[in-house]
Amino acid sequence: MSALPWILDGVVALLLIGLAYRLLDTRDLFEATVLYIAFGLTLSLAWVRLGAADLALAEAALGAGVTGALFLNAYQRLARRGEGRTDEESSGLTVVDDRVDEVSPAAALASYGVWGLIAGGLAWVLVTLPARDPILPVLVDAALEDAGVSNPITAVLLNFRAYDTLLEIVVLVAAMVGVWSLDRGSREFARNPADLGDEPILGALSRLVVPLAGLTAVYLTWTGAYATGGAFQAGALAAGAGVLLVAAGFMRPVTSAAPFTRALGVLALVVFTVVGLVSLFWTGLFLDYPPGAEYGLILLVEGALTVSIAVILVELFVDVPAIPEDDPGLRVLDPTGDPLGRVISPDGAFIRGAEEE
Amino acid sequence: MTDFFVGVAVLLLITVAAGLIRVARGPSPADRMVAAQLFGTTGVGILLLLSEGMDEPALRDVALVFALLAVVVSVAFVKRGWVRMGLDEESEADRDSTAGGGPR
Amino acid sequence: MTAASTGAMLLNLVTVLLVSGGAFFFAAGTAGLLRFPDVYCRLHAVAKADNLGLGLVVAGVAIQAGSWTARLQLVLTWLLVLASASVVCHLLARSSLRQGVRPVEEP
Repeated sequence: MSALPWILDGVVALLLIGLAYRLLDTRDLFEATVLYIAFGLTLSLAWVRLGAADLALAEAALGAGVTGALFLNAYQRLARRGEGRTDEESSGLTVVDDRVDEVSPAAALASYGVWGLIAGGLAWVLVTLPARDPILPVLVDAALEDAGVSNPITAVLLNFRAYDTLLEIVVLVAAMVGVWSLDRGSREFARNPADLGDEPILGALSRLVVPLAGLTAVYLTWTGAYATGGAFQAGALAAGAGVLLVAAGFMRPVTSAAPFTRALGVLALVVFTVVGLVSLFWTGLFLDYPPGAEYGLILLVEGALTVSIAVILVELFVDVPAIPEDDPGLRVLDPTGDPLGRVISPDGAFIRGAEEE
Repeated sequence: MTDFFVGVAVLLLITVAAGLIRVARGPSPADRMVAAQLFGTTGVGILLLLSEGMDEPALRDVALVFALLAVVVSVAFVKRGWVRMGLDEESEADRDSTAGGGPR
Repeated sequence: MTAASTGAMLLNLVTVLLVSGGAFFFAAGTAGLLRFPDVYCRLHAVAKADNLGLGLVVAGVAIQAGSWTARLQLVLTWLLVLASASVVCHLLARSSLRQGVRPVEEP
């Protein structure tokens, strides 16, 4: 037994803490965004070390990849909102208030002391907690035979506690509805035909990466039944492919205003619910799959989940109103300004530094 | 061999940690993205080493996902992340500089 | 000592050499990222050294991998990183140039 795994775990843990500290401490929002991506990748390594490859996959795909891209989106929106303004009224990209630096050493020491005590207390509680035999793995193993799939994680997610997953997809659909209700700037992406064909190299890369990502997504969906994988990881990967397609100009941006997008977005919810109702009719319990049909139904639900998650995530990326722009239609809609921070004067001109010149 | 793989993984992780200093220093957003790119590539290396060192084939899939998503993040940045410098002047001034063939 | 075990030892030696070489190039890439004067040089360091490093690591790991499908997956992952890293670095460099980040002049 060598000490190397311990060193590896120690470095991962220290890196996580250091990244988290710097992430919260920095005043540069872009730095925080990149650190967040790095944090996600490190967390993924931590899951690897804990033997949870499924979570490592999910963290790399969703936590670092898709969320990172979404944060970059949000950063750009915030920054453009602050453009042309003075620092004092800027958009919160950097902390302007320097008073936070003027904390007296004694106060800082006291604060660190209090937090140190709390952290130490928590650590002490954690260490002294009586060890209990984990009972859930035993239960899962016992029931795995009737689950229809041999991967215990998929069995839990889509059979034993399927309603959790059903509600998760409800959350995603709700997020899509939320973005849809803000959907005003999405046309900006669509209206930029100059971008199309402007990136031959990006196009070539997309031709290579998108099929590979699509294939890997199908593979992860399929393999989830008996090994590491699953719909959420696969969906995030497919969403990455979708973002690339949009960025390279191969695909028109999906917007939730399009009926087709909406249909695909709620597909998983519909399929999942119908499967639940059919099993209610068959066995008398909601989502209690009929014996013998478990594998087919789980695969059906997983496939639908992959599609819906991918569509919703691409939609979240593309449909965020990215750049406030002079939109004649907006003035008619909303002559006084809008909740997205675009200030419009009564005569229709934009009150923004960049526009005034 | 297991120890060797894990040991090299530790070394790579330390180089990643050192590379993250560039994220803190910047100065431009692109500099910070380069550091993220470094993390992506080195992360793939670490995962492949661990897949052998820990004897867990699933980590090769994780490495593949690392590689695929690193592209997406960087492309998202190039398309969406630039905000600081002269957005409106960008179109004319820079088309000139790139039309001339760019720097040698 | 049998021929089989000698062969295995040789393969182990090759793996150690390859992976160590890979680690060296990864370290070189990080050094370049930290030491080089502007974003274009740093891209150069990361895009070239790291991909070479990853290639050597992949070669070393592939020797020890249990099956040909595993080796195929390793090599494909490397090729993907190779293609994507070069394109991404190109895009980063070009967008930096377009944003007006000037390359450093010779001293």
